[in-house]
Amino acid sequence: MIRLLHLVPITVIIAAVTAALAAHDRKSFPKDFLKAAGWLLALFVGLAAGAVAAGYFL
Amino acid sequence: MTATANKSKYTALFLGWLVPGLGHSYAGKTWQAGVFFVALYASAIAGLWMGGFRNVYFMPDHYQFYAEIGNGFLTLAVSLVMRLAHVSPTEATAHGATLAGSLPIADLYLMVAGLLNFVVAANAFDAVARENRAA
Repeated sequence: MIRLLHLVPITVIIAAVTAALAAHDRKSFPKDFLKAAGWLLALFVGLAAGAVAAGYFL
Repeated sequence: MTATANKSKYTALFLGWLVPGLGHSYAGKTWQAGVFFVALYASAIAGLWMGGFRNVYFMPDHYQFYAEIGNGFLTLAVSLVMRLAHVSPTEATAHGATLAGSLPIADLYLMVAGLLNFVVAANAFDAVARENRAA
């Protein structure tokens, strides 16, 4: 579980870079950041649930 | 005529690889440059710190290096210092933890930063090329 917590800062970093690449200006950055972080977290939670179901990380 | 007109896209690519965000700074996209610099250096330095600043080196079996080289100057500097100071390389062991079997978590941070910086440098190249076409 502690290992999976490392995915939180990594998610923040990937979301920040994704949002900065996608955002047209500084004002639209927070919205794009939250959108990217939401998608990434949903992806990681899905992957983690699948991994736990398959017997990893136990 | 825009701010990036007549600038070299290859210079933007090289600068973007050398230091995260420098390519965008060169292209005149200052706020994006700041985001890239802070986010990617935070990740890379966190990875180096967890690995005791001894986990970036080139050896055939250290496949992480091919992603870590995306960090540009930081990777080159640490590799060079390690070689010159005869520091023995070590696999990073952040809290003794690995992810996905054998991948050290510290190396994960460095690899994420390196791979993202390849995309960021390519985006700086594209930004300058687009502006030059539009000019």
